[in-house]
Amino acid sequence: MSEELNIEYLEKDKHRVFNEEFMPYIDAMYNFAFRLTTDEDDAKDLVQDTYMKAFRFINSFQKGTNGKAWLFRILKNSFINDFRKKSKEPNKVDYQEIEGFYNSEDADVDVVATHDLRTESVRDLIGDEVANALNALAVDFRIVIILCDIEGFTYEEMAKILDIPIGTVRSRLHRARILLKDTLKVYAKTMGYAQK
Amino acid sequence: MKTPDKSKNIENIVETIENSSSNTPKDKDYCLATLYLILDGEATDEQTMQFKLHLCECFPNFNNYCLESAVKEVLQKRIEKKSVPNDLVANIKAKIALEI
Repeated sequence: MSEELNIEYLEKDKHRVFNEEFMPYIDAMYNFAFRLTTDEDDAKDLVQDTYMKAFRFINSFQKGTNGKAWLFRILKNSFINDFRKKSKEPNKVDYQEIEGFYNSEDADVDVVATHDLRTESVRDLIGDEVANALNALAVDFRIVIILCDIEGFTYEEMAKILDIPIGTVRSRLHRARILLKDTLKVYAKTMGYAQK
Repeated sequence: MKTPDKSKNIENIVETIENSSSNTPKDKDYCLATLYLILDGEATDEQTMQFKLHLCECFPNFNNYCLESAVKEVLQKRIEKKSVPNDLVANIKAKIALEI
């Protein structure tokens, strides 16, 4: 990613780059932070912390490169390294176990488990139900869904933000989507839309 | 008197077709992986074309395509977008001014 380069910006240029390249993403950053923390005040603190770090390390950002992905990476790292440590329930995920499971033959069980979720049931869900289903996912799965489906990052950008290979992005996303559909199915059942 | 439930009939038909499909789990995994590539805008033109041709012949995959598209769509459109708190931008700028 671009932060490996080191550019010495003049003081006035630092502010210009900061305002032009980073501030336009404040909405996306705040919403990403809120989806991770599920608390408005915590989201505010996390965004503030991210922008401060972005300013301090602005010399490692190359103007004209992907500022949004750069900011998302800082925010994600701040959340994982600093913020989540303070949280009572770290919601830790064992990637090896999950990715190992995904690659095993047992993974097909998930396909069967979500089989009876119907398209029309999904379309009938309201925003709160979708948000709750998303928030119910372990944070590492929530992140890939947010980055891909809500923010529209490419797999390559996600790989850079998360610092993992593209293959791992795809397998984690696949698993996250299966888990999300399972949760959506519960909501659909509650509403009497799902089969069975 | 209860009227016949049309949606139930359709569901039964769908289930019958799905159960009679000769797709193996490996085929399903491959199709689902390709489907995700297409929905995420990551598939090549050739992959997209091949999948769409296959879609016309394969009912379970057509169902999957509709379901996955619907999930992606509700994530994009139904989840509330939070407004940035009024003081957040001002706070960031004030803190940066202190850094200098």
